[in-house]
Amino acid sequence: MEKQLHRLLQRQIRKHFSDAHSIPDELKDFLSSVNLAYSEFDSDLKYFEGILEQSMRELFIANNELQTKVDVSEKETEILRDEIENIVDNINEVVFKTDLNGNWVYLNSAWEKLTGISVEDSLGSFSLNLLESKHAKKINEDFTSLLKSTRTQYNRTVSFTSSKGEDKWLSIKAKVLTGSDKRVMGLIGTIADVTEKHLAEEKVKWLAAVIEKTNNTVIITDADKHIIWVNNAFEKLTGYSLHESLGEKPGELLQGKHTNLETINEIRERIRLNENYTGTILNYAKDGRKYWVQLSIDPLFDLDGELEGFIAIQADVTEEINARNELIRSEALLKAVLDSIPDYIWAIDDSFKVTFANDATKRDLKAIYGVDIEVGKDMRNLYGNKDQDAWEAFLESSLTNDFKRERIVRIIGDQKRFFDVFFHPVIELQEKTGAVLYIRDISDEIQSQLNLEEKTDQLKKAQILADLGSWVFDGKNTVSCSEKMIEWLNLSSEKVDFMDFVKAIDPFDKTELRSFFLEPDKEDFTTEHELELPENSSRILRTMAQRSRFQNSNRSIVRGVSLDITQQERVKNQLKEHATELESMNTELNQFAYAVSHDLKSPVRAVYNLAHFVLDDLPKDDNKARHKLEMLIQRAQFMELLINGILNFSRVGRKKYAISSINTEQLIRQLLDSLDIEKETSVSITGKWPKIESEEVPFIQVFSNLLSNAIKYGMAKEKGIMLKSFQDTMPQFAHFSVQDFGKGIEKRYQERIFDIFQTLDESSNGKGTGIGLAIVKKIIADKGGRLWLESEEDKGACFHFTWPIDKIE
Amino acid sequence: MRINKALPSIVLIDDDEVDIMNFERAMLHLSVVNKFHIFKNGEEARRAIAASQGNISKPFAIIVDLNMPKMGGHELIKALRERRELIGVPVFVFTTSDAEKDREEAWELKVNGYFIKELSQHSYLQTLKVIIDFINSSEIPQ
Repeated sequence: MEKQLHRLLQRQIRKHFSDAHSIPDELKDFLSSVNLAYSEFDSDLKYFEGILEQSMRELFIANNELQTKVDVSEKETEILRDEIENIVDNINEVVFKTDLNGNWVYLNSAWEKLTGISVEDSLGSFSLNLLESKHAKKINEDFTSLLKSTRTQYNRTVSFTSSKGEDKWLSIKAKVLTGSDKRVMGLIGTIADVTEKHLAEEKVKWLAAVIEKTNNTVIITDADKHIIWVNNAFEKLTGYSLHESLGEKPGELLQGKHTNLETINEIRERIRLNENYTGTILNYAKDGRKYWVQLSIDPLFDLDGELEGFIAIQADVTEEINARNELIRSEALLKAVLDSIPDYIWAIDDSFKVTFANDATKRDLKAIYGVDIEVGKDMRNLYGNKDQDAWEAFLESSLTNDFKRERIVRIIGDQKRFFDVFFHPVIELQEKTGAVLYIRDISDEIQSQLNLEEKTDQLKKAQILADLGSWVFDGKNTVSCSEKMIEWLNLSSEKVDFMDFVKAIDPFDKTELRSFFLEPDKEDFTTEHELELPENSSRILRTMAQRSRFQNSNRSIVRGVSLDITQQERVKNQLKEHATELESMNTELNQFAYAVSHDLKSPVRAVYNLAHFVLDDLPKDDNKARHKLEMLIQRAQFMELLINGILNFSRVGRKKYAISSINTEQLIRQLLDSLDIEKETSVSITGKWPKIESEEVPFIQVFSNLLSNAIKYGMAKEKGIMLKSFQDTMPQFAHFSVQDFGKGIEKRYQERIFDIFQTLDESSNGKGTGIGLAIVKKIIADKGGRLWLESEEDKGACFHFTWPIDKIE
Repeated sequence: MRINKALPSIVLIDDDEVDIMNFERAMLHLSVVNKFHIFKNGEEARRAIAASQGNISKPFAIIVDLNMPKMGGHELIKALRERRELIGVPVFVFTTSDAEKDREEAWELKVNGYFIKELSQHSYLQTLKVIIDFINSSEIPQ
């Protein structure tokens, strides 16, 4: 080029450029054209002589400009190189270049930062070997094979430990470097520290796993509230799969009939405002099962603050809610139970404030304490309570003691009322946090107790009055005695040893009392025994004992009563003596009657017989003598009647006959037949005749005697007899009457006719002995019946009597 | 009635003189052919019967009153019943006593009859006739 250059130009170039080679390329074209111009100028010198002058100036200017431009260009190039180096040194990634063997030929300063090894120490070797990395060898092999292969790209993330001991993650990227002739020259590439990114990715993976594995359900929706993702727990809880759920709105999918509308509205409002919601809601699973969840909904925003969607996290709290509902129910039940109790139940906390009071307490307790009891009230300040200090002390102790009981008495209205107050501590986590007060109105019980005591006292007094002693053997070794027993047995105290008691009540072991105590098979026992008293007197006790058994136990107690029967025994003995006396007298009387009848009969018979002998031997014509003898015989016969009468009379009641069932009417008709009365006498029988249980013989005797009486004295043969049975009398008795229609009996004789040997006719007429009615009277008296007479003169006589229907022992 | 040696003789024990008279008159009145022996009390009768060793006039029958001095009727019957050789001798009680006690006691001693002396002459005769007829009609081993 220099050969071709115009000398002027060359001069100029020499002037401006020390070496032609140092002309920047961009100027060369320009210089060529200038050279051309110089050449053309030389050739057309003449033509352009003038122009040259002008051009010289322009050229000069242009030259100046050019100079300026060259300066600028050089400067920019320098700046550019500096900047590139600066950038390369300042980037975090290591920039490297290797030779054909893979040894570093270039490393930027990031290398030192990353590895802690200086660039100088590293160049010329494959310095990854210097790193503590299990991957170093592998990478070395990779690089070597990369340099030999046709592959041009390499990308790998490895971990290593820096010289400072930090675990780092490196992303290595390499590229084969080739020359213009396509010859491999080495590798260039970058090494980036991706530790943070790696850890962040790990964390995200972990979080995702947590979300996937958690028992809480997680729902993520887009901004339009359509589900874009749910976790496993959701599928498990709701039964909807991820696939089924996608695109659905959670509310429409999960809420149901009993989901609280207010809750739903609140959730909607919060979501509308892009706010967080936390609350509890009832949801429905796919199979209709209801469950409660603790729900938390948060809006999700992207980096620009735009709403991306929502995330809802739900914890299944069905069991908790059910437990809570159960708790509410049982609390309600407990309250109802406590309210239904007529006793007073209330509770205080450890600051003496009322925490609970049942209905009875709220209603009535003012009457006892003078103030209303309300929940929250401090119970120390009972201004109505007179014994304020004692009350406070009591409350204090109720909180410090385990259990306490107190009886209080209040005058309510004009009544004295008794209350039992029970304190029971409330213990939470082994700490006393309050006390329950249970107050019972025991006035009625106390009253019953007092009544019982009064009754017992009365009983004691009654025992003393009745001369009755009582005692109780406790089944072990003690006998408790009443006052009378103590007096009678001369005991030292109310409670005595069992053996002392036995010795006192039965000193000579005459009764079976001792064995009764010791033989638990016997249920009761009665004995009479005599206790010797000083001065040769004695006391007779009748003791009755009865055993009471305890259930489920072999033990038994013995209750006994003793009765002082000394006086009774005396009277009884006297009575016995009298009875014996009476008996012997009766026997004597019997013997007397028997003797009389026999002894009297004999002479009478003798008189009678002798009179007959005389009569037989007397001449038939001695009428006077015969008449007298006949009178004698007659009187002797009457005498025998009287004697038989006495015998019959004396026998009444002594002889016992068999008791049989008697059809009274039938029996009377048989009697009439056997007596053959109706031939001559008209007998009428009226009324309803009963059946009775009685002795037949005396019953017949009564009728027989009354009939005979009516025939003898009542003109029965002429006027008839009426027999009647009445229904109107005492319940245990039958009532009969025998009526004649004769001349009757004067009032003044009405009593007398029932006496023995009493007749109203002269005995000489031979009608009666006066014994028949006496016998009737005696028989009826013996049977406990009644006999009476209704009669007026000339109007007949009616004999009434009653007779027991049933046998009387 | 003529005397028939085959007829049993009759032994009467009665302390009442009038009754003995009554008995004798009745025997006469009834023309009884049987032999009869009369004792005034039981002791006398017992001794006589014992002395004859039961052979007063065998066969015989006994009519006995109850109330008698020394030995009463019951006692006598008992004594007679204890003698083996007198087994089968008929005994009739003929007494004024109608006491139940007497009757029971008599029947326990296995008497052959118990009759009460009524007051009337007629009934005495009647009763005695029944007894005699019974004795005479009853076949007795020879």
